[in-house]
Amino acid sequence: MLLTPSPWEDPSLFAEQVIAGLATGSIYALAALSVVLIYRSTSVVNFAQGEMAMLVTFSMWSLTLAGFDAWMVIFIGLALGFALGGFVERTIIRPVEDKPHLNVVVVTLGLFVFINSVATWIWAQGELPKVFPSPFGDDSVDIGPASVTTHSLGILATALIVMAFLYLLFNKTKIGLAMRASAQNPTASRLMGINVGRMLTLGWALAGAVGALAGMLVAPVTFLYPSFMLAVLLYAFAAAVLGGLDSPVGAIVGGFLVGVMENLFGTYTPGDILGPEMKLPLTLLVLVLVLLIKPTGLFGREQVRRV
Amino acid sequence: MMLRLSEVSASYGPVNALEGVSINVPEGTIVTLLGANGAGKSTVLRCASGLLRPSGGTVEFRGRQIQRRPSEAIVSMGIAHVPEGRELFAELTVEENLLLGAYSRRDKKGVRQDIGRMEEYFPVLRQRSTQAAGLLSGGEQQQLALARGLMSRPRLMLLDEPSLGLAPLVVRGIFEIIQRINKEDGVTILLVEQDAGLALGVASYGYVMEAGRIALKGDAERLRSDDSIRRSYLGY
Repeated sequence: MLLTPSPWEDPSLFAEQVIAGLATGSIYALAALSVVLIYRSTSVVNFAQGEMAMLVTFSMWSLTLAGFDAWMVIFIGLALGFALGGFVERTIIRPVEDKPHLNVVVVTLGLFVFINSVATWIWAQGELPKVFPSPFGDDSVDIGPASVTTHSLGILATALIVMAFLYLLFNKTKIGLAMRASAQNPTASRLMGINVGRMLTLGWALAGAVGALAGMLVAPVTFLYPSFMLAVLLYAFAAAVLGGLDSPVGAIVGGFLVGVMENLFGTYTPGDILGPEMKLPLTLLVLVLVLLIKPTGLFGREQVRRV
Repeated sequence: MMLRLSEVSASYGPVNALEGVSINVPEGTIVTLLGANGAGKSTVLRCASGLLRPSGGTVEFRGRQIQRRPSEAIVSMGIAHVPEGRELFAELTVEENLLLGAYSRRDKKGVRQDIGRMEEYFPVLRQRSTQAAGLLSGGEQQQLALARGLMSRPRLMLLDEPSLGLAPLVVRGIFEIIQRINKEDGVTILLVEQDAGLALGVASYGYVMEAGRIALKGDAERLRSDDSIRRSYLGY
């Protein structure tokens, strides 16, 4: 009988897995951010978030076929994701915005199905999955004992830049302050002269762009097929809930935690008992344990209000 | 005339809230709107600030009809509405609340100066500048609500029950500030109050509302001294 080598015997493996976990974690963090951006402003979980990203990624795949450069495609995709997010809010969400939350949730589920069908109809011909290029290439580089791909480092860096941008936007600009205010108290915001509807549209647009970026960055790894964002979104929801659904910081920390946990569970679960397939259930188990101790998530806040 | 409501009607769904209400608020004065709970006082303010669109009648602000404008446009014309329950941004800091009050303004320098001025008016706001507004006491929150309203440099302020839920001593302080705002800054004030004695003490003219209509109006002094009016409408 052949004995597979125990993962514990390879010291560089741990570092490699942590870095790879941070890289996938940054994808989860971006996708979780896109969920949180919308949840904060409308208290609605947008189930179509992943499919909107998928639609953008497939459209960009078509552009690469037409000869567009991998970097160019990322920027066009960001713009398209932004426009799509804003468009969806204006046309589909706005009419149900003042209705009970369940209505909005059902609308986003409908959108999920719709986009999925359209994408399947347009792109699911010929061979699936499609190959999506990475603007960072996929060479290996050594960091200490660990060997990681340039793509992993690239998405990590991109995610950090996007997070810094969003932090500055929300905390250092007037429009960011107005967006936070609209999310908290729409009536008072109107009395301050803020166009709350425009802020909602902007929130959805930003979420659309960030989600699309997550899709385009993960596609080179997972390859591209109509439901490729499903697993990502599942982990992203886990990350968002873990961090606290209303907290952008929580989404980021949660994303990295889930990414690293997933990778380490996949590597270090004893194969003869559980096997790497157990990484998803084990990750979700940690999530449940955290929520048992802190129901609002790691960074979620209880309402601050004194009456 | 700073604000003129003519034959204004309004409803919440099928429920009529106002029927043919006419109110005049001359420039530079404090006018008060009295009446029991549910008489429609807050609804009048909501119609004036655009939170509620009247179903009939006109609202004129300095001669211009505004009843069809959205509230975000009305603020920048010079009306600040300090709503019932204060409606602060509870999770934002005191300073952020003040900045939001000045959202419709473009002069950054003036806004900075005004924040300093507000902190002079209300010293407690300077001490608490970086705290979440929701953590302030009721009196402090009311001061912040007034300051936030003033940050837009309004010509007219609509104040909805500034005394609600506050200790008598705190209320006295708030009303002194309201008078200062009126006298020193020249801000015209339409004041909704349940405590009629208090309101008539600072106002020059008063309206008494009953079931969505103006039941009575007159000089504050006359309303204050008239025994039958006192007993039936003002309850003191």
